[in-house]
Formats: sequence, structure tokens, C-alpha cells
Amino acid sequence: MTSREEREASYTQFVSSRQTHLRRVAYAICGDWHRADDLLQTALVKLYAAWPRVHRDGREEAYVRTIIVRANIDEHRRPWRRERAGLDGHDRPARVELEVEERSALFDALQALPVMQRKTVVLRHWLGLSVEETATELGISTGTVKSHTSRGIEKLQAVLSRDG
Amino acid sequence: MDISEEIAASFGDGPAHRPIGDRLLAGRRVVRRRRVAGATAAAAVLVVVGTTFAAAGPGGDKADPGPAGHPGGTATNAADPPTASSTEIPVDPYGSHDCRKVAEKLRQNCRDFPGEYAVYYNRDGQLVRRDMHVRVFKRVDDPVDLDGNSAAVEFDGGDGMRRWVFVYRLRTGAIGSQAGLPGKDAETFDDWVRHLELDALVAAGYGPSDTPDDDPALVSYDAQGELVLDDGVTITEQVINPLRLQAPEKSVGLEVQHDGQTFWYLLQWSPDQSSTSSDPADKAFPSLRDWLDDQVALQQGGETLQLVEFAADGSLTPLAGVTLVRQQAGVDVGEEFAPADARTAVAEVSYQAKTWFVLARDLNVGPPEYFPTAASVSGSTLEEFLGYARQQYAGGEGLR
Repeated sequence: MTSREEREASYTQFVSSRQTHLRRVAYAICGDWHRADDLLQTALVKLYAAWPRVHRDGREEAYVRTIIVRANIDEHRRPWRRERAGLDGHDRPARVELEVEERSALFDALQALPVMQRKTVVLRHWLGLSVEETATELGISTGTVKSHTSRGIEKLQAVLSRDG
Repeated sequence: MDISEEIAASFGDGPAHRPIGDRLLAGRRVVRRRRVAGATAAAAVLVVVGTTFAAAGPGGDKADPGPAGHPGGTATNAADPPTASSTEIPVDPYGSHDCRKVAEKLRQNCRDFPGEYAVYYNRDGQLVRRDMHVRVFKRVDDPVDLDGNSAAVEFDGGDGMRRWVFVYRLRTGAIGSQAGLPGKDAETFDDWVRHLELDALVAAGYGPSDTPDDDPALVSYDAQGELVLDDGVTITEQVINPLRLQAPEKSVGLEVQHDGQTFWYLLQWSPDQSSTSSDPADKAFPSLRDWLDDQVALQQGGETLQLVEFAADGSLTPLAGVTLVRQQAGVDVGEEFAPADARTAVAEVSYQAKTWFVLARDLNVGPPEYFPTAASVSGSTLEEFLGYARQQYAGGEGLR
């Protein structure tokens, strides 16, 4: 097996096993499957290019996740011309709308949170990252993580208690 | 059910994935395209700063020096040896002039980076040593397929520390380097060289990076947290630490001028990374401070300037402290702003004794979005603002 074949075999194995989870992370962050798929594709293309280094270090998932959560920040921070998450030349799949009932009140409440609160809640309370890990992935301080998480989770708990 | 399970169960898996083959093709296409693409030479030096920063890290100078003084002391892999080349690299006949020239651009001194500019391509395109104190242990020519010359070198820059550097000189004349440290970036020089390719493509501006940026920054933080200005850039206004970061982290808001144009920057630095946000000045906000308020709110999850909100009937209502002057529903600012079937509106409002125009859209994906623009930027009438907005979106710039 050539080095490229080996590389693509391991890359393919990773993508096949983790793409559903990683796209769900993107969807939880941005609330739109079309955009989530673009975010994932962008991150996976970068992962392909960086695969030898990232795979060697065993941080494939964190690498993709960081690109996803930070790309969404950039989308809001950067000029409009950079708001498109997809890379040039990538074919986009047909837009698929979800049935309304597939999104719960909790998910809607999550989407209603300010973007940084949403991200910290997703990373801390869904994915189980520590405060420090969350701070690193988002590029913000641990204090900021704590305050955003606290406010975000408070709002979600209110929804859960109301609907429960 | 705890909150983690509640979130996990609150939505489905989404539509089918694109075929895995498409993922691979996209990856190959990007790598191939980057290899053959025209050089982004103007950004080369700044790109290298960021890459070296990532490679060496804040503790780079404290790394284990390794077996200094033992030529060929790093292990080699006989199964896949790199192409061996002569380790003879002449001392730069121009002295350290070229080294200083590069270092001055980065506002650094060669002596602060004994490993950084020990080996480089000089003005004649010749691979040279900075001075006779630089000892070369190993050298691999053209380890990466670039449009120009490159070499990976294992050396001691004169400080007793064994280091690695990949240097290149593109056909465009752009030069750059990427540093590596034994034990940190790889166990052996040969391993480092083998894994160098994609990192090097990134360094040369051909490859993707973690924070892709279409436009070279006019001003940025270097690895030490010092501001680095591109040639011809002047700082005209400065706001210290708008992100209110705790030391050693820091941030700064800047208004800079370059080629007769004014830009606003928000720079953030920590020992591990730095980031840059920028916009042409006067795109939507009347001052640097207003723009910074918006950027800080976006980054930290605070409330951005909104001024109005959609009412249930689709009209816009003013928020507290805002006076609505006039509004119009269903504005057409082009497909770049919103598709024809989306809910859109525009309002002229008065806020803090200033006139603002707010473009609003509800794409039915997440909450509605509001884009306030100061009348001092876009023109004093609603019609002038809509003309400005159409121009901004048609040109791909938008209002944010």
C-alpha cells in the first residue's frame, strides 16, 4: 500500500465513523443542516490536507471540531464575502429541510441562545468537554466559558422544567 | 435524562451524507490546487510568522537542545530515507544583510532568533548560512514540491541548540521558513522532513490553514505579542484591550491607513495563538469604537447593536431608546442579502441623536438578523442607504 493509500484509508475510516456526530455538532451550533454540511465539508477538506500531522497526534476529532466551532464565529465576524462556509468548487447537496417535529423545544431554545452561549453549552454540556478544553477550542478564556455556560444552561433548564 | 442526553435527543441525524469519495476528491483537489496555484507572495512573510509561531510554540527556545555538536546525530530511517544532499552551505557573501532585512520587517533582531534566520536564501537565491558560527548537520534539498527552491536543514545556530528549519524561495521571489524542534515536532529530523510537506505548503501560502484569511493582514501580532505593521501602514487610532482580556492575553483595536484607505482592526493575542478581525472603515459604523463594540459583542456572545425588531405582523418596531422614523417592508437588496421569498424590511431610526438605517432579514434559519448602518456612512436618505446596501451586497462585501 502506498503512503497515499494508507493515508486515505485511515482518513476514510475516520470520516465514515465520525461524520454523523461531527455534523450534528455543526448543526447544534448553526441550526441549519445545509450550513452544517458545508461547515463539515470545509473542516474535512482541511483535515485531509493536514492528515499526516493531525493523525499522528491523534487529535483528528478535536481538529475538525475546532474548525467547525471557530468557522461559525468567523462567519459572523467576517465580511459577507467570507460568510459562505463552503469552499470554492465544492458541490453542494440539494437542500433538505427537516420535518418540524424533528426539532424539539429544547433545540429551539438552544438556537435562541446568543452564539457563544450556544457553543459553550454544546461543548460543555453535550460533548462533555472540560472548561479548559472548551476555552481552548473556542479560543476564549475559562472565565468567559463559565459565564456563558452558566447563562445558557439556565435558559435551557427553564425550557426543560416548563416542558417537563 | 440529564441535559447532555436531552440535547443529544433534541434533533436528528440530518440528511444523508455526501459520498465518501466526494470528501476524498475535495481534499485531493484542494491540495493539488494549492500546489499549482499562483503564489500569494505578498503575504508570504506574515504567513510564515503565524506558521512558525504554531510550530515552535511559546517555549520553543527552551526545548531540549539535543545532541549538539554531533553531526548526523539524529536517527535516519533506512526504509524511506530522504534525499541526501551535501551539508555544505556557504556563509552569506553579503554578510547578515539579508537576514537583517527580513528581521527588520518583522521588527525582530536576528540575535533574538538564533535558529530562525541561521539558514536562508539570500538576494541571489543562494542557500546560505548567516555566519560561520552556524553549523549544518544535515540538509535535504527540495523536500516539497513548490514552485521554486526549498531545503530542510538540521543545524546549530550558534547557541548550542540543535534545530530544524525548512526554507524556501518561490519563483516569485517570496521567501519564508518554517521551524521545527527535535522532540517537539518530531523525534528525528528525517521524520520531520517526511511530514513536512503539507505544513510547508501552508507556510508557502498554498495550503489550508486553521484560520484561512483571504486578505493579508496589514497589521498583526507576532509570536511574542508585538505588533507588526506591513510596509506603508500607519496607525491613526488605537483602543487598548477592547476585549478586556487578562494578562498575558491582550487585545487592541486599531484604525490604520494604507494606500489612502482606512481599515479597522481588532487583534487578539495569547501565548498560544493570535487572531485578527478587520473591515474597511466606515462600512456600517460611524467610528472605530462603535465597530469595536459590535465586534466584541460578536466574539463574546453579547448583544450587538440591533435598534429594531420584527413584530408578529412583519413590521419593525423600535427597541428602547430608539425612535422609528419610517420603515418599508419587503426590500430588494439582491439575492446576496436574502432570497425573494424571505421576510425583509428596512427602517430609518434615530438613536443617540444620530440617524441610522437598519436592514432586517428573517431567513427562517435561526433568529432574524438586523444590520444597522449609520447614515453618516451610507447617505442621509433611505433611498441612498438602499442604493449603498445593494452596492455592498452586489460587490460581495455586505454590511458586516
